[in-house]
Amino acid sequence: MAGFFALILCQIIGDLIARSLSIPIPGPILGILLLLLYFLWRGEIPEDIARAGDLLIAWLPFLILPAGAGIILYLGALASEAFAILVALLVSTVIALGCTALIARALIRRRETRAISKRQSNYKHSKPSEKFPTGS
Amino acid sequence: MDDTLQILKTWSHSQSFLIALTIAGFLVGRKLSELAGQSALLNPVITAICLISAFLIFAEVPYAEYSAATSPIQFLLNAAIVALAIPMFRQLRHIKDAVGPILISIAVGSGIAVYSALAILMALDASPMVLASMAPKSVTTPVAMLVAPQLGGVAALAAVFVILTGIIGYALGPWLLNRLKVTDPVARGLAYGTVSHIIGTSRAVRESDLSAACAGLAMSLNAVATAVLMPQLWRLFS
Repeated sequence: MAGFFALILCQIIGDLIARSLSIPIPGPILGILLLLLYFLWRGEIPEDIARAGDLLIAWLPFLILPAGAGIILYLGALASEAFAILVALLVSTVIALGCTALIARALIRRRETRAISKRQSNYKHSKPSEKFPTGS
Repeated sequence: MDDTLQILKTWSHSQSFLIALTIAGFLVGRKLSELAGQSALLNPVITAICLISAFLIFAEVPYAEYSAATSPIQFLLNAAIVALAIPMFRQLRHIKDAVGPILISIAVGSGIAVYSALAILMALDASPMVLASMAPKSVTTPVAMLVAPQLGGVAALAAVFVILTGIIGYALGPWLLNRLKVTDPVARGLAYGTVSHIIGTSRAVRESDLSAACAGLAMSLNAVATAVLMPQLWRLFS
């Protein structure tokens, strides 16, 4: 129960901050950041918060249903713009997936080749006996 | 006969009935998805939304009434969103090495996902409401539903776009990444998580543990960064 209370408290404080400073960030998002800062400060997740939180997260697909059913108010827009919506979703998802994977691979490879060349230059300056470490 | 129908109709407007309807819709959606072999193609949330919507239209329950009746569920939703800090904290330890490549990939991938969709929608003359609802499509559903209204969009539309984005990534992702010959589990995981959020992450889980961890991390970071930055950027450019 204390864990659940902590989650609600973070959301309320997040809402208060967002409203009083009139910054357009949703209260629950500021709540995530507050809770994250608390975890970082503690260095761990308190057990009661983990228990309440894991349960709520498992329920997320159910909890979004009431807002999701609001789609019935927009069926007209969905139908009249169905073509643009489907093309945009399909093409942009494929482009973004491909680009993200290629960029990530290029960056990881560059970092690995750098690390290897750095190690080789370190070997040059080290004593011959250290060149081939036995244990790994 | 008319009387019983009338009673049923009145009863279907009660709070406990509408909450039970929501639970029933979810259970049926989950069961159907299980029967389809847990395939993401038959998404339980989409099925449940269709069932609930169909009932509301059939029983002539106005959405405002349903929304008011289910406010306890929406209250729990806010607490559940705050709880997303828990998986995020757990995943942060994966970032210890390769901080730079991971952060840059997520940021660039997230930007491409948003701007490519907006460019296509504008080219096809879509309405501003659809544009604003689709902008956060790569972010996990509950967060996208918070962000979209701040841009002038609609939470429910955002939810549908997010889930469709997840399903497309789940269905086409493996084929696309294989064609591009991306075999690195980190790169694959980052792509799945950044672009196709939790549904993409469920695909990464099938590939490898490292891929799944990277996907989960990408999903968390992208969700929080998008929620914080997108409303400010939207203001600047519109």
